[in-house]
Amino acid sequence: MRFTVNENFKARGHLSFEAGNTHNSDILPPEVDEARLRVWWERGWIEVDGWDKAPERKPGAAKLDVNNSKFASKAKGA
Amino acid sequence: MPKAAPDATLDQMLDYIADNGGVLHACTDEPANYAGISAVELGTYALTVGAGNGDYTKANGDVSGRKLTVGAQSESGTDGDIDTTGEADHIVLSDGVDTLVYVTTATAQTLTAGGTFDTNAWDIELADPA
Repeated sequence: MRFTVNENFKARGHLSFEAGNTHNSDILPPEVDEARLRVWWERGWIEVDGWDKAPERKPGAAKLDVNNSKFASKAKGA
Repeated sequence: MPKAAPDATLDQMLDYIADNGGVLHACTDEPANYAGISAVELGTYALTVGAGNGDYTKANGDVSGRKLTVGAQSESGTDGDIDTTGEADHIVLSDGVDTLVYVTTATAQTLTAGGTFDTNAWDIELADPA
């Protein structure tokens, strides 16, 4: 699917997109699938060929749910 | 024979993180090193270094050993501003100068520049040797 970037953004997978550039998701990593394009479109970050105009971007407050880390030692022998 | 690591031994690692983790970065991926942070960073918080000074707290682990808790962060001033739009799923601690201190994961969240982000409290726990 072809999409055009509305604003600069960084995506998981060390991907960066610049406003004004057009990309084809078919030649991007498979993780960039339609579901992910839809999330970007819903945030107003991109326009997708054949889809309605993306909703207006809405910067707001977000909460990051950070994961705990646990280091557990495992003995090879008694 | 029993195995043992006194609290002071485990605390060495936790103190290193608390003493050097002056910046919390919301990132899109794991950076390979400090220089790599800028390529994946979306926003930051300045943290007060040192356990017991406000942002870092040491305590006994939930099961055994020791843990370091990084306190919840709420937007204030430029702390918590989303500087770059993107998908955050990593949190990185660094000294803000040249050293990457710690990396953990977060539930993926979209952040749009111009908005703000908060974080929950989270911890790093070191179990006693088994």
